[in-house]
Amino acid sequence: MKPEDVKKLADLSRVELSEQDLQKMPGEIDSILGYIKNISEVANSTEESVIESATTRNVTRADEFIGEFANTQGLIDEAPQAQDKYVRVKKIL
Amino acid sequence: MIDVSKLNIKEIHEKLLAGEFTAVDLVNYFLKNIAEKNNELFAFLEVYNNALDQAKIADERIKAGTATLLTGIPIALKDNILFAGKTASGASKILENYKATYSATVVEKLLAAGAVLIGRTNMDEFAMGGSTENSAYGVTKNPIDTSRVAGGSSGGSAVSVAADMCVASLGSDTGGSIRQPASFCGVFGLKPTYGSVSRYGLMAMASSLDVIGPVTKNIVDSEIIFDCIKGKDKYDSTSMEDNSGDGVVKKIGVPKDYLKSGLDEDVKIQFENSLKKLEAEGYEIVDISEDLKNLEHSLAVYYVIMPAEVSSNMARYDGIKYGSNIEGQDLIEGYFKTRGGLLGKEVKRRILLGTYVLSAGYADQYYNKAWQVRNLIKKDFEAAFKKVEVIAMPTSPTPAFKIGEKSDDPLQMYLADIFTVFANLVGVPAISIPDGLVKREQKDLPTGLQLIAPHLQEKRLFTLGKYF
Repeated sequence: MKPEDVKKLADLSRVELSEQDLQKMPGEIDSILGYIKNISEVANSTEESVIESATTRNVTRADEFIGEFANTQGLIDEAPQAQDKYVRVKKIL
Repeated sequence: MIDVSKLNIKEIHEKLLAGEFTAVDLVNYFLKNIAEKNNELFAFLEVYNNALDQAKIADERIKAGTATLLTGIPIALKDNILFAGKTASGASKILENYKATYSATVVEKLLAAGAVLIGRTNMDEFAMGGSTENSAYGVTKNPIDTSRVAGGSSGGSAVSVAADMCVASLGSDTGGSIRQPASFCGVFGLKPTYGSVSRYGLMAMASSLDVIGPVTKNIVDSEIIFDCIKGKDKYDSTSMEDNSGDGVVKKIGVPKDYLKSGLDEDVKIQFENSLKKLEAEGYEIVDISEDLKNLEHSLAVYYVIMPAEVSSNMARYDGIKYGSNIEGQDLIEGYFKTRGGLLGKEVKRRILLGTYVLSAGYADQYYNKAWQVRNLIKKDFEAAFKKVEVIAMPTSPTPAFKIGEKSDDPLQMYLADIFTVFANLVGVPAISIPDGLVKREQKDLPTGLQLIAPHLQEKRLFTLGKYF
């Protein structure tokens, strides 16, 4: 992995990286990818499915209104910028 | 002056009822210990300013005769668990001033039982790490040797209990984050069955792996706290009832081949001593190496699935809805600056790694394959648990390492999770029990015996835990 590959991942992830991180992270990520690469071979030698397993099952429930959240003002207050009952963001278009 | 350092919750409860001391005395006892030790150990990020008020209410409840076992018992919370009105930062700069707008279900349950929530404990940022060196606020030190790490990510929770700064604490465990620090600090750390404890109000790290559990001084307390916090919760659809355990153990399985390499020789000797102890109690030790043939792949699988889920869960920290932010020229620059400037290095590393394994062209090679192998590992455990009731293994391949020793080498740090991650991948309960000491530089460092049971069989762990 090269610094420009890491830069691309950082762009996709909306994370600004320092020049130092851009230089250091390729090697770190490569060593981790080196460690995990053999799972591909293990997986290819099996018929095991990707998601299905004996211990996973879906949990469903009726789509019912269970009451309003008690502290909506608290939620608004936690936003860095808010106005009345709205969270403020910079204009998008 | 009272001394409760050697008492379990039942014994403290009896003394509270008998009037030997009050809940206020008890909180004051721990506040004094915190005041004396926290500057050096840095287990607590904050002591709640209403701890004594909570204790007064507990004393009234004790007088009124409506006390539960946990009434008046001081318990600390890992900093990723929400307590309404209190700061909860996940040990991250991005949530430095965030105040919880509701309480986690585990907090509601502890409060309903009358427990006193005494403060919030230090951790690796958003629970990512194995040493509590990744906290944005400072390193938690091991109370047995302060030049060594406490373990992580629930390092503060483990130290708060080991250094007698509270009776017990809650941690969270995604790949060993309760068990490994418990092992390093010489206390009990329980990672319950996935789904047995509600995660409503826990900051999500890797949602198919995360679980909340107790850190305690003894096995009695592990069971009492687990019984209080477990159960189905309408706010967490992955939660379920956990009352079906039988507590019956006859055979204990050990994957002997898996322990042949990568395990510190002294830790191995302590582990073998623990097994001898169990054998002397009449349990049969069985080699299950043949059944757990995919165990060796568990860490690799974990380091694909975990970062993938981390990269999705961390997307919520955008500087808009809550937490701190750094202004940009426009919306998108604000995201980059906020996340770049306020998230720590390990969090960023895992976000990038997760983005990589999920990206087009690589998801088939990494993420989907990891799920296939995860299912193989699950099947291995199902087969093994047909032969034995409990599996035993060391918690960590080494005792606590030195502060700074692994912080520049992420892969070396990850390898410390080699004996813990599979329990999260499979979803089964596991506990770290302090047993045995190894000498390093004239200090006796604790080691941990890890016991693993099938889904919803925590009671078997409590059965065996009573011998230690």
